[in-house]
Amino acid sequence: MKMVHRRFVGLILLLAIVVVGDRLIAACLRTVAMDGNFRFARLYSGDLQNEVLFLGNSRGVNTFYAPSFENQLGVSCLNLSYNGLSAELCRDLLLDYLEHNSSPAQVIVEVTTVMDKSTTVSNLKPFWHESRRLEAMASSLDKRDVHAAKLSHLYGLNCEMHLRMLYYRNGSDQAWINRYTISTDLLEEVSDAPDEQWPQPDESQIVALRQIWDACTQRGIQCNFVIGPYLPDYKKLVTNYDRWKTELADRLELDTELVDLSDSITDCDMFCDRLHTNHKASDRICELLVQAGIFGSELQE
Amino acid sequence: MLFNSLAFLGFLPVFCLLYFATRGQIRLWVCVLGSYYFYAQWDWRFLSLILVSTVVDFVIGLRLDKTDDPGQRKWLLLISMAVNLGILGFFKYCNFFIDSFTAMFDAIGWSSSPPHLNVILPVGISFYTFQTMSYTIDVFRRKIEVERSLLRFATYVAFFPQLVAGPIVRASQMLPQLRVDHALVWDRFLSGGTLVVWGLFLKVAIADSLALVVDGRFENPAAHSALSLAIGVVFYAFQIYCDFNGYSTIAIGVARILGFDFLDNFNRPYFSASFSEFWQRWHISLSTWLRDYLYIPLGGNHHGVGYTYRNLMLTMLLGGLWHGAAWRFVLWGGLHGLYLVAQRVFGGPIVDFLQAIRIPQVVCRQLMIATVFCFTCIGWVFFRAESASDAFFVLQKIFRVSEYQFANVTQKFHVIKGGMLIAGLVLAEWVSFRVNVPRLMTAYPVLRIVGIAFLVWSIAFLGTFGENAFIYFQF
Repeated sequence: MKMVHRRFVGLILLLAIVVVGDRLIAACLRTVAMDGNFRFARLYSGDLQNEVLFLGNSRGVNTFYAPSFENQLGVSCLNLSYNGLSAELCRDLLLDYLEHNSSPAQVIVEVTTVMDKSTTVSNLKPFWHESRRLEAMASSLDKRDVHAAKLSHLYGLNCEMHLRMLYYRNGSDQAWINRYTISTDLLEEVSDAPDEQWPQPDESQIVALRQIWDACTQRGIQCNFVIGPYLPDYKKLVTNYDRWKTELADRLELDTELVDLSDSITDCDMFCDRLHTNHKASDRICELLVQAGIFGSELQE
Repeated sequence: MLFNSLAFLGFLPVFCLLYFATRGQIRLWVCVLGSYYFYAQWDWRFLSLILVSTVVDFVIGLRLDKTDDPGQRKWLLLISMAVNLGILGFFKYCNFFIDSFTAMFDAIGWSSSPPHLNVILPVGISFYTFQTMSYTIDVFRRKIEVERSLLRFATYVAFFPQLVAGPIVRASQMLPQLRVDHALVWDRFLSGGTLVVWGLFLKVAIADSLALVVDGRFENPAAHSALSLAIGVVFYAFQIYCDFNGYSTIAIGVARILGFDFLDNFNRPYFSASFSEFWQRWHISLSTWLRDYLYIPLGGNHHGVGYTYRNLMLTMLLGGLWHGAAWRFVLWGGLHGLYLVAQRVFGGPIVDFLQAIRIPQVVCRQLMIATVFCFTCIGWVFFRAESASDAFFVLQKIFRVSEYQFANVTQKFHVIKGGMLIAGLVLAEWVSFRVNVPRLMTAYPVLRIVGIAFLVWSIAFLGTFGENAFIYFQF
């Protein structure tokens, strides 16, 4: 009986150590990460004052290099783009930003974010408890994930984003951009690749873009939709690009033009792969957007 | 049903309750029906193949026991091998042979368009067919007593912990254990449970996390730099090790809880200082099966150098083919055959040379370990690549060392995470050479509690959860 009692106590002790340790370690890691400079940690910490906000997926990360824009425009810029962010997630992050921080003067969205799925919300796990919108999105896609994150707080930090938060704890994450050049092997592969046709995005993503627009216009924020550059040889393969763009604009039903920079960079050295420019293109992209006149006169002065 | 799934988390406690609540024949029924249920979660139709293999080899075993006529005994053995290899050959290799012969005929100008059969590869077929064949061969050789209970034999064949991805358990090991009603023993429950958690850590935290880096690199090698690909190759070496070792460890742990002892299937293979040592440490149940049922019957190393090399090459080529119905697996096996031959030819002179220039023994061993690891990684490229041409592309690119730049590496955070996991694993295995961890945990239960807690935290924080199948399921 004594042996059974000892074993039972041992099992309870194990369970207690697992649960308490999970909470303690997660709390420490969360505190360290949220106290840092990563873009979303700053968003939810609040009290940010930025003139220009950028939103998008990995193309947004690499198209909008905030230091270049700050240099040329002389205003504070914040890039809230992240790999794989869908339009729905961009909308939720923007609305959260507007709740926690001062409204910016302008929001610029890399519009191909409509082609991403919102399943990337699992990578935003560390912020689910900060944002009812993100948690609702996560629940709608996979309730088990949300329950698991509540059951294990360490699981709630299990994502690449948390590693980035720790990495950017002390330094600015706005310098995050791809700094390598596309390889000759990949260039050859692209030139030999077959044609492709882009599908039209899901209606939910289009609705999200409209909601971004509405949220901005209601608050007097200028909103611009931009299509960033593509590797020229890759762009040629997309045989329905013009139709895709026209249909997208029609479905958006907005009184605004898409600023199309898809053909604007022709130097392959300024690309790291078929979809993403690298750091060498950042100043040029800023110049092109200024030339396109999307920045209000007060920002261009 | 995967070990790393919620379904298994529900299945195992129920099975254990029924198992320990029963005795004798009823317990064997619980085992065999539970195992069939486990397998049927994948595809119930292929239970028929397990049943065919079970019944054929059970009957042949009985007939072998009844007759002493050498000719008859040989025929019975041949029937068993024909049935088992026939099932394996049809479901696993028929399209491979059709495509290979078509390519050969096309190369010599005979065009043909034979039908391509739509055949599903049954999970675990390579494992249970080898397992049942080993029984028949051992009965033929009079190494073991024949099993007279179909129920017990069916349990041996289908026992769920090792059914779909090994270890390949010999009848001489398992059948005697099935004759005993094992009670729930606390120490076995603890040590088995610890093995299950360790196996889950290897699979979910390490293997599946490394897969996030590896998969992209091998799907499109041209899109990645030389260093990116090199990292992918090294990561794959550890992914396949942790994936397969993880599965085996969980299988051994579950079996231990139920009262069964299986031999280890892996013994720190990347610490091997020679290729023969590697094959004594990697997938031990398969390498010993190939040694006992293929290499030794071919003559082993008893008929001179030439025959030894031939036997090594044949064994490794067929071992490669066992892994998959594609020429890149044959290439992988052939490469390891060449390594073993080269080791016999050059190994001695190299060691003599190193000793002659007074390289310390310890340094020699580390150099050999690094060399064996590098050559093993070259072999893994063929194993993982989507085609032989992709494999050669990756190999020629990873040797462009002058192009190595960390800035060009994609998925840097996953790479850093993967690198730290590998470093942790290597350190843990190095420590295990010096410290008997199981004995320490038995002596100090607090260590076991802390160790299990640490593994659970690591799985939660570092694991990649997608109920990813185990790599060896496809074999």
